Amino acid sequence: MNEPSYDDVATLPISLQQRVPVAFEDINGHLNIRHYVGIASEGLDETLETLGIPQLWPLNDGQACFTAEHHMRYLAELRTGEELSVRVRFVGRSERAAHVLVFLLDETHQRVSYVMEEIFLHVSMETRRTSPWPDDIAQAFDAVVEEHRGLGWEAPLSGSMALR
Amino acid sequence: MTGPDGPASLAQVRELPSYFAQDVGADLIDVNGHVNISHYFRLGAWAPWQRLQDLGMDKDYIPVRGMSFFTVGHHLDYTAELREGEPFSVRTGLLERTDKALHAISYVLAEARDEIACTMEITYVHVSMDTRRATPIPEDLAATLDTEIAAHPWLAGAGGGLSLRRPR
Repeated sequence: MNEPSYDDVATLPISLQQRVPVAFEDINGHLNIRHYVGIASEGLDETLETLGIPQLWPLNDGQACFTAEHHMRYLAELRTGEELSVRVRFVGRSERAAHVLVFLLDETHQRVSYVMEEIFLHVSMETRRTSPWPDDIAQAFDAVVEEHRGLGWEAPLSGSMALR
Repeated sequence: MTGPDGPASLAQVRELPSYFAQDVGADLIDVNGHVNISHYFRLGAWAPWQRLQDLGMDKDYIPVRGMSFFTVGHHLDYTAELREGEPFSVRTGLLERTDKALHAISYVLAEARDEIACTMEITYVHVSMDTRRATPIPEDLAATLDTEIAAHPWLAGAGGGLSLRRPR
Protein backbone atom coordinates (compact mmCIF):
# COMPACT_ATOMS: atom_id res chain seq x y z
CA MET A 1 0.00 0.00 0.00
CA ASN A 2 1.28 3.45 -0.93
CA GLU A 3 0.46 5.73 1.99
CA PRO A 4 -0.69 9.13 0.67
CA SER A 5 1.04 12.21 2.09
CA TYR A 6 -0.65 15.16 3.77
CA ASP A 7 -0.27 17.13 0.54
CA ASP A 8 -1.93 14.31 -1.44
CA VAL A 9 -4.97 14.11 0.85
CA ALA A 10 -5.21 17.91 1.05
CA THR A 11 -6.13 17.90 -2.67
CA LEU A 12 -9.60 16.77 -1.49
CA PRO A 13 -12.07 19.44 -0.39
CA ILE A 14 -12.58 20.05 3.35
CA SER A 15 -15.81 18.43 4.58
CA LEU A 16 -15.42 19.72 8.12
CA GLN A 17 -12.76 21.56 10.13
CA GLN A 18 -12.43 21.94 13.91
CA ARG A 19 -10.09 22.01 16.89
CA VAL A 20 -9.85 19.03 19.26
CA PRO A 21 -11.91 20.07 22.31
CA VAL A 22 -10.65 19.19 25.79
CA ALA A 23 -13.83 17.19 26.42
CA PHE A 24 -12.78 14.71 23.69
CA GLU A 25 -9.54 13.80 25.49
CA ASP A 26 -9.27 10.41 27.20
CA ILE A 27 -7.16 8.79 29.92
CA ASN A 28 -4.28 8.49 27.43
CA GLY A 29 -4.25 12.28 26.97
CA HIS A 30 -5.32 12.32 23.32
CA LEU A 31 -8.45 12.43 21.17
CA ASN A 32 -10.42 9.32 22.11
CA ILE A 33 -10.93 6.78 19.34
CA ARG A 34 -14.71 7.07 19.40
CA HIS A 35 -14.43 10.72 18.39
CA TYR A 36 -12.37 9.81 15.32
CA VAL A 37 -15.28 7.79 13.95
CA GLY A 38 -17.75 10.44 15.14
CA ILE A 39 -15.96 13.34 13.46
CA ALA A 40 -15.20 11.31 10.30
CA SER A 41 -18.86 10.26 10.02
CA GLU A 42 -20.03 13.85 10.47
CA GLY A 43 -17.71 14.91 7.66
CA LEU A 44 -19.02 12.10 5.45
CA ASP A 45 -22.61 13.21 6.19
CA GLU A 46 -21.71 16.76 5.11
CA THR A 47 -20.24 15.47 1.85
CA LEU A 48 -23.23 13.18 1.19
CA GLU A 49 -25.48 16.20 1.65
CA THR A 50 -23.71 17.97 -1.22
CA LEU A 51 -24.38 14.88 -3.38
CA GLY A 52 -28.12 14.90 -2.71
CA ILE A 53 -28.48 12.79 0.48
CA PRO A 54 -29.95 14.96 3.25
CA GLN A 55 -29.42 13.97 6.89
CA LEU A 56 -33.16 13.43 7.41
CA TRP A 57 -33.44 11.20 4.32
CA PRO A 58 -34.88 8.27 6.34
CA LEU A 59 -37.64 10.37 7.89
CA ASN A 60 -38.56 12.56 4.95
CA ASP A 61 -37.98 10.22 2.04
CA GLY A 62 -38.05 6.65 3.39
CA GLN A 63 -34.48 5.97 2.21
CA ALA A 64 -31.32 5.50 4.21
CA CYS A 65 -27.62 4.69 4.13
CA PHE A 66 -26.71 1.77 6.43
CA THR A 67 -23.04 1.16 7.15
CA ALA A 68 -21.98 -2.41 6.38
CA GLU A 69 -18.28 -2.32 7.17
CA HIS A 70 -15.56 -0.09 8.66
CA HIS A 71 -11.80 -0.44 8.59
CA MET A 72 -9.89 2.15 10.60
CA ARG A 73 -6.21 2.93 10.93
CA TYR A 74 -4.83 5.33 13.54
CA LEU A 75 -1.59 6.79 12.23
CA ALA A 76 -0.85 9.73 14.53
CA GLU A 77 -2.24 11.04 17.80
CA LEU A 78 -4.37 14.20 17.89
CA ARG A 79 -4.02 16.25 21.09
CA THR A 80 -6.30 18.88 22.62
CA GLY A 81 -6.29 22.20 20.79
CA GLU A 82 -4.89 20.82 17.55
CA GLU A 83 -6.65 21.68 14.30
CA LEU A 84 -8.07 18.86 12.20
CA SER A 85 -9.94 18.56 8.91
CA VAL A 86 -12.03 15.80 7.35
CA ARG A 87 -11.58 14.82 3.67
CA VAL A 88 -13.66 12.25 1.78
CA ARG A 89 -12.49 10.24 -1.22
CA PHE A 90 -15.05 8.24 -3.21
CA VAL A 91 -13.58 4.92 -4.29
CA GLY A 92 -16.50 3.36 -6.14
CA ARG A 93 -20.13 2.38 -6.12
CA SER A 94 -22.27 -0.55 -7.16
CA GLU A 95 -26.01 -0.75 -7.79
CA ARG A 96 -26.77 -0.69 -4.04
CA ALA A 97 -23.53 0.17 -2.22
CA ALA A 98 -20.79 2.79 -2.06
CA HIS A 99 -17.13 2.59 -1.00
CA VAL A 100 -15.36 5.60 0.51
CA LEU A 101 -12.22 6.63 2.39
CA VAL A 102 -12.53 9.30 5.05
CA PHE A 103 -9.31 10.95 6.24
CA LEU A 104 -8.63 13.04 9.33
CA LEU A 105 -5.77 15.43 8.64
CA ASP A 106 -3.75 16.90 11.50
CA GLU A 107 -3.58 20.46 10.17
CA THR A 108 -1.28 21.59 13.00
CA HIS A 109 1.53 19.19 12.06
CA GLN A 110 0.42 18.67 8.45
CA ARG A 111 0.18 14.89 8.64
CA VAL A 112 -2.42 12.17 8.08
CA SER A 113 -3.84 11.13 11.46
CA TYR A 114 -6.55 8.63 10.58
CA VAL A 115 -7.91 6.68 7.64
CA MET A 116 -11.44 5.22 7.79
CA GLU A 117 -12.56 2.96 4.96
CA GLU A 118 -16.30 2.35 4.75
CA ILE A 119 -18.87 0.53 2.68
CA PHE A 120 -22.45 1.70 3.05
CA LEU A 121 -25.65 0.40 1.53
CA HIS A 122 -28.76 2.04 0.14
CA VAL A 123 -31.75 0.79 2.12
CA SER A 124 -35.48 1.22 1.65
CA MET A 125 -36.97 2.06 5.04
CA GLU A 126 -40.18 0.27 4.07
CA THR A 127 -38.56 -3.16 3.64
CA ARG A 128 -35.35 -2.41 5.62
CA ARG A 129 -33.56 -4.19 2.77
CA THR A 130 -31.06 -2.92 0.23
CA SER A 131 -32.39 -1.30 -2.93
CA PRO A 132 -30.76 0.39 -5.94
CA TRP A 133 -29.49 3.98 -5.60
CA PRO A 134 -31.90 6.53 -7.13
CA ASP A 135 -30.68 7.68 -10.56
CA ASP A 136 -29.67 11.19 -9.49
CA ILE A 137 -27.60 9.87 -6.56
CA ALA A 138 -26.01 7.19 -8.73
CA GLN A 139 -24.98 9.84 -11.28
CA ALA A 140 -23.60 12.13 -8.56
CA PHE A 141 -21.56 9.22 -7.12
CA ASP A 142 -20.24 8.27 -10.58
CA ALA A 143 -19.12 11.85 -11.20
CA VAL A 144 -17.27 12.16 -7.89
CA VAL A 145 -15.66 8.69 -8.23
CA GLU A 146 -14.39 9.72 -11.67
CA GLU A 147 -13.12 13.05 -10.35
CA HIS A 148 -11.27 11.38 -7.46
CA ARG A 149 -9.75 8.77 -9.76
CA GLY A 150 -7.91 11.66 -11.41
CA LEU A 151 -6.40 13.03 -8.20
CA GLY A 152 -2.96 11.65 -8.97
CA TRP A 153 -2.50 9.51 -5.85
CA GLU A 154 -3.53 5.96 -5.17
CA ALA A 155 -6.38 5.25 -2.71
CA PRO A 156 -4.83 3.37 0.27
CA LEU A 157 -7.32 0.49 0.46
CA SER A 158 -7.13 -2.20 3.15
CA GLY A 159 -8.11 -5.04 0.82
CA SER A 160 -10.42 -6.29 3.56
CA MET A 161 -13.68 -5.17 1.92
CA ALA A 162 -15.13 -4.93 -1.57
CA LEU A 163 -18.29 -3.72 -3.26
CA ARG A 164 -20.91 -6.31 -4.08
CA MET B 1 -17.77 -13.25 11.46
CA THR B 2 -16.12 -15.55 8.96
CA GLY B 3 -12.42 -15.93 9.62
CA PRO B 4 -9.78 -17.87 7.74
CA ASP B 5 -10.78 -21.03 9.62
CA GLY B 6 -14.49 -20.56 9.00
CA PRO B 7 -17.26 -18.97 10.99
CA ALA B 8 -17.29 -18.88 14.76
CA SER B 9 -20.22 -20.69 16.29
CA LEU B 10 -22.62 -18.88 18.55
CA ALA B 11 -21.95 -21.46 21.25
CA GLN B 12 -18.28 -20.47 21.19
CA VAL B 13 -19.14 -16.76 21.27
CA ARG B 14 -21.36 -17.38 24.29
CA GLU B 15 -18.40 -18.88 26.18
CA LEU B 16 -16.66 -15.51 26.09
CA PRO B 17 -17.13 -13.18 29.07
CA SER B 18 -20.21 -10.97 28.79
CA TYR B 19 -20.18 -7.21 29.29
CA PHE B 20 -22.87 -4.51 29.18
CA ALA B 21 -25.80 -6.97 28.98
CA GLN B 22 -28.97 -4.85 28.64
CA ASP B 23 -32.12 -4.25 26.63
CA VAL B 24 -31.84 -1.64 23.87
CA GLY B 25 -33.06 1.67 25.31
CA ALA B 26 -34.62 4.49 23.27
CA ASP B 27 -31.45 6.56 23.80
CA LEU B 28 -29.44 4.16 21.60
CA ILE B 29 -31.82 4.48 18.63
CA ASP B 30 -30.96 6.75 15.69
CA VAL B 31 -32.82 8.32 12.77
CA ASN B 32 -32.79 4.91 11.04
CA GLY B 33 -34.79 3.35 13.89
CA HIS B 34 -32.04 1.01 15.11
CA VAL B 35 -29.04 1.05 17.44
CA ASN B 36 -26.62 3.63 16.07
CA ILE B 37 -23.24 2.24 15.06
CA SER B 38 -21.48 4.64 17.44
CA HIS B 39 -22.83 2.51 20.31
CA TYR B 40 -21.47 -0.71 18.80
CA PHE B 41 -18.15 1.07 18.48
CA ARG B 42 -18.21 2.47 22.04
CA LEU B 43 -19.25 -0.77 23.75
CA GLY B 44 -17.19 -3.00 21.46
CA ALA B 45 -14.09 -0.92 22.21
CA TRP B 46 -14.81 -0.64 25.93
CA ALA B 47 -15.40 -4.36 26.57
CA PRO B 48 -11.79 -5.55 25.98
CA TRP B 49 -10.48 -2.57 27.95
CA GLN B 50 -12.76 -3.56 30.81
CA ARG B 51 -11.56 -7.14 30.41
CA LEU B 52 -7.92 -6.04 30.68
CA GLN B 53 -8.77 -4.20 33.89
CA ASP B 54 -10.56 -7.28 35.25
CA LEU B 55 -7.46 -9.33 34.40
CA GLY B 56 -5.20 -7.04 36.41
CA MET B 57 -4.26 -4.02 34.26
CA ASP B 58 -5.50 -1.85 37.10
CA LYS B 59 -5.98 1.90 37.50
CA ASP B 60 -2.29 2.37 38.41
CA TYR B 61 -1.15 1.04 35.07
CA ILE B 62 -1.13 4.38 33.23
CA PRO B 63 -0.38 6.91 36.03
CA VAL B 64 2.05 4.83 38.13
CA ARG B 65 3.59 2.19 35.86
CA GLY B 66 3.60 4.70 32.99
CA MET B 67 2.37 2.38 30.26
CA SER B 68 -0.80 1.92 28.23
CA PHE B 69 -2.24 0.48 25.04
CA PHE B 70 -2.93 2.77 22.07
CA THR B 71 -5.33 1.54 19.38
CA VAL B 72 -3.79 1.26 15.91
CA GLY B 73 -6.56 -0.47 13.98
CA HIS B 74 -10.25 -1.30 13.99
CA HIS B 75 -12.32 -3.46 11.69
CA LEU B 76 -16.10 -3.57 12.11
CA ASP B 77 -18.70 -5.69 10.33
CA TYR B 78 -22.33 -4.74 10.90
CA THR B 79 -24.33 -7.86 10.17
CA ALA B 80 -27.76 -7.36 11.76
CA GLU B 81 -29.89 -4.56 13.16
CA LEU B 82 -30.75 -4.23 16.87
CA ARG B 83 -34.12 -2.57 17.53
CA GLU B 84 -35.53 -0.95 20.66
CA GLY B 85 -36.26 -3.37 23.51
CA GLU B 86 -34.08 -6.23 22.24
CA PRO B 87 -31.67 -7.81 24.74
CA PHE B 88 -28.00 -7.80 23.80
CA SER B 89 -24.55 -8.28 25.29
CA VAL B 90 -20.96 -7.70 24.25
CA ARG B 91 -18.66 -10.76 24.27
CA THR B 92 -14.94 -10.12 24.15
CA GLY B 93 -11.74 -12.11 23.80
CA LEU B 94 -8.05 -11.93 22.90
CA LEU B 95 -6.76 -13.52 19.67
CA GLU B 96 -3.00 -13.10 19.74
CA ARG B 97 -0.15 -10.92 20.93
CA THR B 98 3.45 -10.07 20.16
CA ASP B 99 5.94 -8.52 22.57
CA LYS B 100 4.52 -5.04 21.88
CA ALA B 101 1.08 -5.57 20.33
CA LEU B 102 -2.27 -7.13 21.12
CA HIS B 103 -5.26 -8.23 19.01
CA ALA B 104 -8.77 -8.35 20.52
CA ILE B 105 -12.28 -9.02 19.24
CA SER B 106 -15.77 -8.07 20.43
CA TYR B 107 -19.10 -9.50 19.35
CA VAL B 108 -22.35 -7.62 19.89
CA LEU B 109 -24.78 -10.49 20.34
CA ALA B 110 -28.55 -10.13 19.84
CA GLU B 111 -29.34 -12.50 22.70
CA ALA B 112 -32.95 -13.29 21.80
CA ARG B 113 -32.33 -13.86 18.10
CA ASP B 114 -29.03 -15.73 18.31
CA GLU B 115 -27.52 -13.34 15.82
CA ILE B 116 -24.32 -11.32 15.76
CA ALA B 117 -25.18 -7.64 15.22
CA CYS B 118 -21.59 -6.44 15.03
CA THR B 119 -18.09 -7.92 15.05
CA MET B 120 -15.30 -5.56 16.02
CA GLU B 121 -11.61 -6.39 15.79
CA ILE B 122 -9.05 -4.21 17.51
CA THR B 123 -5.26 -4.03 17.38
CA TYR B 124 -3.27 -2.17 20.02
CA VAL B 125 0.34 -1.21 20.44
CA HIS B 126 1.70 -1.25 23.99
CA VAL B 127 3.30 2.14 24.71
CA SER B 128 5.41 3.96 27.24
CA MET B 129 3.59 7.10 28.38
CA ASP B 130 6.99 8.86 28.67
CA THR B 131 8.01 8.42 25.06
CA ARG B 132 4.50 7.70 23.67
CA ARG B 133 6.23 4.98 21.61
CA ALA B 134 5.98 1.19 21.55
CA THR B 135 7.52 -0.68 24.46
CA PRO B 136 7.37 -4.39 25.44
CA ILE B 137 4.45 -5.64 27.52
CA PRO B 138 5.83 -6.36 31.03
CA GLU B 139 6.17 -10.01 32.04
CA ASP B 140 3.36 -10.10 34.60
CA LEU B 141 0.78 -8.69 32.20
CA ALA B 142 2.12 -10.77 29.28
CA ALA B 143 1.61 -13.97 31.31
CA THR B 144 -1.96 -12.94 32.11
CA LEU B 145 -2.67 -12.19 28.45
CA ASP B 146 -1.23 -15.54 27.38
CA THR B 147 -3.56 -17.35 29.79
CA GLU B 148 -6.54 -15.44 28.42
CA ILE B 149 -5.53 -16.14 24.79
CA ALA B 150 -5.10 -19.85 25.59
CA ALA B 151 -8.55 -20.01 27.20
CA HIS B 152 -10.29 -19.57 23.82
CA PRO B 153 -8.03 -21.12 21.17
CA TRP B 154 -10.72 -20.96 18.46
CA LEU B 155 -10.34 -17.17 18.46
CA ALA B 156 -6.98 -17.53 16.68
CA GLY B 157 -8.96 -18.22 13.50
CA ALA B 158 -11.80 -15.78 14.18
CA GLY B 159 -10.12 -12.64 12.89
CA GLY B 160 -9.97 -11.56 9.32
CA GLY B 161 -10.02 -7.80 9.15
CA LEU B 162 -6.80 -7.17 11.07
CA SER B 163 -3.61 -9.02 11.91
CA LEU B 164 -0.49 -8.42 13.97
CA ARG B 165 1.54 -10.22 11.32
CA ARG B 166 0.57 -7.95 8.43
CA PRO B 167 2.65 -4.80 8.02
CA ARG B 168 0.58 -1.75 8.82
